[in-house]
Amino acid sequence: MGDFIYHLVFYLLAASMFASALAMIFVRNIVASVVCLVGAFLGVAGFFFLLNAEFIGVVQIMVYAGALSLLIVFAIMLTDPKDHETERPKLNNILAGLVVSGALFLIMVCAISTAEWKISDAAPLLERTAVYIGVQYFTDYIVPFYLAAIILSMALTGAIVLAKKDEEGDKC
Amino acid sequence: MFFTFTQAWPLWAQQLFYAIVPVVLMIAVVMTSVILFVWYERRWLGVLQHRFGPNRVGPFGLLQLIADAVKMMTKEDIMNREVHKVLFTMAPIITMSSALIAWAVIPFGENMIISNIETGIFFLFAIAGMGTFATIIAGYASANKWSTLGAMRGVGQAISYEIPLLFSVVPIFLIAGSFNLQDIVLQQQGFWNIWKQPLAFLLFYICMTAEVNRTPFDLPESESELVSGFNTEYSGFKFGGFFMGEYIASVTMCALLTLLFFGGWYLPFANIEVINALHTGTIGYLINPIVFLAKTYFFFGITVWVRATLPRVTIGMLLSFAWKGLIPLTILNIFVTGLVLYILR
Repeated sequence: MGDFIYHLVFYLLAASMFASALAMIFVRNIVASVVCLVGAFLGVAGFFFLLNAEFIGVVQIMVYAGALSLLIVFAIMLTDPKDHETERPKLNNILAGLVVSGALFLIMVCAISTAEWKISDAAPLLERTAVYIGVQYFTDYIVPFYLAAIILSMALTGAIVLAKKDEEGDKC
Repeated sequence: MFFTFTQAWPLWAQQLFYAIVPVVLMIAVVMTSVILFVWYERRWLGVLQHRFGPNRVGPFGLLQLIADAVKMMTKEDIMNREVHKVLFTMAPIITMSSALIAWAVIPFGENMIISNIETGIFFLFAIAGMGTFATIIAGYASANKWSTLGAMRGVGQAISYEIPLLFSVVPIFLIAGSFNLQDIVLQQQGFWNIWKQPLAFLLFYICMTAEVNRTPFDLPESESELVSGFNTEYSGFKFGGFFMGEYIASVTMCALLTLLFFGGWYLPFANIEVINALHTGTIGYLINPIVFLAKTYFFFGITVWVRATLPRVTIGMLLSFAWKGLIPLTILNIFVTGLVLYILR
């Protein structure tokens, strides 16, 4: 991939991500704001692709843009449609929000600009990254991997227990 | 080599040219074959159901699809007062673009691929999953009970069937040792994966039919119960977007079937001499896409055959079949394949 294309794609992705993140906040319909959120997620995935981290980019699309957003919309559709459009906020709230977010923004700018960034001196992995991730999971990081599996199956079992009715012969 | 005339251009223009040309070519090939696929499906359905199918416009009715496309584009675009206009317009665009982006990782032959990324098949499934998102957005934005019910069904179906769909191809990854579609095909020279993994093929076929909402799993748009499901309110060009998007998605799945189980662009029983003679070099660039597309057409014909034969299942049957039948079988298949590979190591 040439330099020009790289920069073009980078700036296009950045612009679209910025636009969809802003739209997510300012759009009044809650489902529309989920759609904008998906746009932002896809932009992040695009950045991962540009950084040669294809596996993480794909996981970003699959988990965040695909599954999570679907879950959010599904949950929203179970609520009353009248509540989906939020009203325009009051002036006091806008002012308070501006003060808080401005302060937060300043703190973050200070923190990020004064932080010392460590750059790893390990050689970058250019090919077969997904295989490397798999090997790492099953050797060095086997304990966190199994812990994640146990937590997920606990959550799954808990959801089934909560959702299941006690009545006998209740087919579902 | 082929594009010597670009050498006089500035560097950025050359780069842009080489980035855009394959994409435009791919979209042209996919859209043309989708138009042909629609014709093929209708004619083949006609044969299977002892009737003619479209045979009036042009030779063998081939121009019928052009006529239909023109009709669809010039139709009035009806939008209800209650719909959410932006989301309503966006849903067909998402369907169509996600179906087209998936073709970026599909190889038509050795090195005939837009983006040869390592996790190609994962990318394809991730992008194809965005089609479900478009379904639910369409159902929500339509402000219509049928649409919402269809979208709900679509999401339930997609969530249930994406799990066995991904699990059913894991044995192929184990055999090939790669997620890259090109690597998977290259490793099938002479001996296709279908002989090693017949169960995985069967499971993948069932899940793929459910994933792209084709009969007998076309519950999100079942005409007889839900009018037309999530796309009830759509008309004109927007409906055309859904229609094309769904066709492209099912063609993508047939292409994937070819690549994963039936040796991609290799002729049947191609041994090393045949591969050296026909599948490499300049002649390979001609033969590989033709063989690949022919196989894709064949498997699309089988899905049409299934459509003409089987009635639609109910949503309860569908979900319990996925969770109680397919998922345990796919997990068992992964386990057995891993065990066999471990013993043969």
